[in-house]
Amino acid sequence: MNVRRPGPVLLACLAALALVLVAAVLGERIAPYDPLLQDPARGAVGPGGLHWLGTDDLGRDIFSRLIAGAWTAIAGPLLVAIGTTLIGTALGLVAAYRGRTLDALIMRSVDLMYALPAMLVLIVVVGVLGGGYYAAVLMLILLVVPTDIRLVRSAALTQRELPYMESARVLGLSGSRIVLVHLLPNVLPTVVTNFLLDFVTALVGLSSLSFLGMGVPVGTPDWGLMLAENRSILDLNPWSVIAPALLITVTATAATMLADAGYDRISSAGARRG
Amino acid sequence: MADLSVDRLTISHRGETLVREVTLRIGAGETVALVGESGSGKSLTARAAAGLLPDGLTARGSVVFDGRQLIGRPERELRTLRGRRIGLLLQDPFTMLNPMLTAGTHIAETLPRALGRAARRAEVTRRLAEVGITDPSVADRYPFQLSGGMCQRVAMAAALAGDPDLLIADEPTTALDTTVQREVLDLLTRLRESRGMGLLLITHDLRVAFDTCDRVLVMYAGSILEEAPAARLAERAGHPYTAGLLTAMPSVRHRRATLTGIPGRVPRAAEVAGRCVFTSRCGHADDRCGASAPEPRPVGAGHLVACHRQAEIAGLLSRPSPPAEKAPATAASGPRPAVARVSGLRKEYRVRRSAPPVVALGGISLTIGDGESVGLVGESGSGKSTLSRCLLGLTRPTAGTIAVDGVAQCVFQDPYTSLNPAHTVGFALREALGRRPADGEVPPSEADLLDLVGLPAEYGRRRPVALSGGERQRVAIARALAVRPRLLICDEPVAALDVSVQAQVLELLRRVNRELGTSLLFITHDLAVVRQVTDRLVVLYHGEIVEEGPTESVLDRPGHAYTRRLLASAPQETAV
Repeated sequence: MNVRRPGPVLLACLAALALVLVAAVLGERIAPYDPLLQDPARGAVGPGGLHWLGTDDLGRDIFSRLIAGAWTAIAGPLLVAIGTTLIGTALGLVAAYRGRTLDALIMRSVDLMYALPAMLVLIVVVGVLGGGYYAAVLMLILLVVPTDIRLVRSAALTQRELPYMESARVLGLSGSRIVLVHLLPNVLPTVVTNFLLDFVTALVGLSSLSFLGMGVPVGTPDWGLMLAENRSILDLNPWSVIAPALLITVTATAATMLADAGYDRISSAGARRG
Repeated sequence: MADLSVDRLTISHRGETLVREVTLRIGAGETVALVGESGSGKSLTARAAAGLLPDGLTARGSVVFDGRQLIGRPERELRTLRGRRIGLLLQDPFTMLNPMLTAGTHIAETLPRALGRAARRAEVTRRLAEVGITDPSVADRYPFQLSGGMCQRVAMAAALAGDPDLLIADEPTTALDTTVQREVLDLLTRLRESRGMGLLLITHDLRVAFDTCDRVLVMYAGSILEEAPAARLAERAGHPYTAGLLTAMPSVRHRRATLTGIPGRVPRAAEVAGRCVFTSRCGHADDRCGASAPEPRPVGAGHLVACHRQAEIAGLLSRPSPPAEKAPATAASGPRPAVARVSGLRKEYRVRRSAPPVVALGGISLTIGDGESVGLVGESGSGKSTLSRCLLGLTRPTAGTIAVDGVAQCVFQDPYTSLNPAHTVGFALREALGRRPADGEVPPSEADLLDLVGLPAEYGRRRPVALSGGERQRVAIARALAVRPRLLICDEPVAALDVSVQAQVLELLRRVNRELGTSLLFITHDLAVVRQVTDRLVVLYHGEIVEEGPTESVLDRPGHAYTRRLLASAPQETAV
């Protein structure tokens, strides 16, 4: 089977994510200014030679703050995606493979979690009780993981009844080996897609919290927070709002597109017929 | 009455030829079978004849029906032709009918519009009666409330509702049980005769073609290789491929000494352009065969053969091997120790908690001797798969005991899902070898196992996706044999395979039984296959064993009414 070369759209998505990743890792070291440096004399100026995207009302460089903000835009969502994928895949596989009581137990808990209004719970726990960014990350894992469990379980269920799974059982292989070696590789497309989509959910979720003034502390360079803080200077320097909004949108879109392409690729790379 | 005339029809997809220069003619009221293995292009040819080619496929040449050229005709005009003039019947009765519409609606759709409600209702009832459904309430049922045979009858009534002059039936009975298949084929023949309608039957089964049709066309890799009256083809096949198919077919009447499959696999039509398409698998090929594609040449009344060497090799073609000598040595050697003993096995399923349980197996007892090959036949729902699942420990029986001495292994029906697509063949075999019980002997290597089932050692590096159906089934057998089972349970292992490949797998299983001494429990619906591979036969009907005995005597002198019905339904290998 020939590996298709990624199309221009997919390449653009990969490039966008790579740029955000580089910015997150290097952060302030590649930023032209200190993202926290205030210069009230030069507050809320538009884009120009000195400040490419202008400054906010405290005179902080928007471009540098965007670069520094990549950290909270990447780190939290990545943690959420890793956490939900690990927990969701494990519980989904176990629920599908073991069935019966364990399945019922896991899936009824999932139903219960589904009944909770996720954003509301998040705002109450993080906003009202306090706890900051990493509490929000933890809550997001808890709130997103039911979806993963459901998706992985349903993908695993379609495989479970196939003859190759029964052959493995007839061979007398252990349950853990059947799940890890035989079941897992065949639900991998779903797992990888889940990972990327959870990343997107968390990115948008965390940014929304920051926008609402919860999560990251005031003053932190964070895309969601910048969106909120700079609304007052929208007429003086529109780029102070448009740029972080654009970055959130582009990053989320790129990850979603990648998830879509990733699913097609992995599931056609020898896993399925035709 | 109208006739269909296909002339030099070529179908291609993005420049790749799928069907090459097919010419066929169906006179008014004539029945013609188009026979071929999977990938031969037979279904595409039929679809082109109905003006129903899938998007992206282009047809060249000509398809003339009743004096009108169908190729290039706009969809709007084709639509008036389909249903009214050309009826179409497809393989899977369940997906062919719309699950949201009742049986009656399907039929009424194609009826002339001018009928009032009451008249339409009466007409639907009449049409249902025509296909043997006398219960008018069937008209109000949905497809999921009907059995496969019923669905196929409803589909047939719907296909015939517009009173077409030609019916195109694409594997109409493949998904049905033997007895139902017989009923549907008989019905098809009866309706065709009473209506004087033409029939184009697409099938992979030469026996069905011989049974039903006047004329048979054999298709391979997109080309027609031979065309002859059914009776003549059965006796004097002129093309090496047809001869090969006939020698690969087991017989329901007697066990053949050997079954010979055709080596190799079916090439894509595009790979074999400009030469005889059968060259790579033909034992008689010479330079000419690789240099140009042979034209069909007449060799007798209505008998055309597309083979360069037809005249030279006519006497050399392989013929079905004669009946084997009476009962093979192993079957005669008295009572043997049992490898599996089943007694009073009962299995019930509960569909809903409130509903009474469905009895899949009603307390059956069965013993499989060491080295014995036991056939298990029965229709779908007879409990044969439940029995095998209980033996394998995949399902817990409701009551009764099962004792299996040593390891039992299995080979399943669908070769495409029997192997884990994520792992290589070698991985699967090594994993199975790891489960082999220690017996003091040197275990075979991965290559030994592949060699045992007739595959080259380099297949170990391949993934299932790169293997054909027959090859996958061999790997599944090799994997099962890796743990050195005392009992190998084969659940319809050849039902999804083409005839030429089926023969190879059957021969392999027989060798496993004879040479390795592995007991076989062979589950199938095909009596010819059972005759070929098994010593003893068990007939299962509605969860009960209704007949049991040496395969030959059960098939030669069936005792139970159901066995007799099964035998009468089996398609004959020679034309009637």
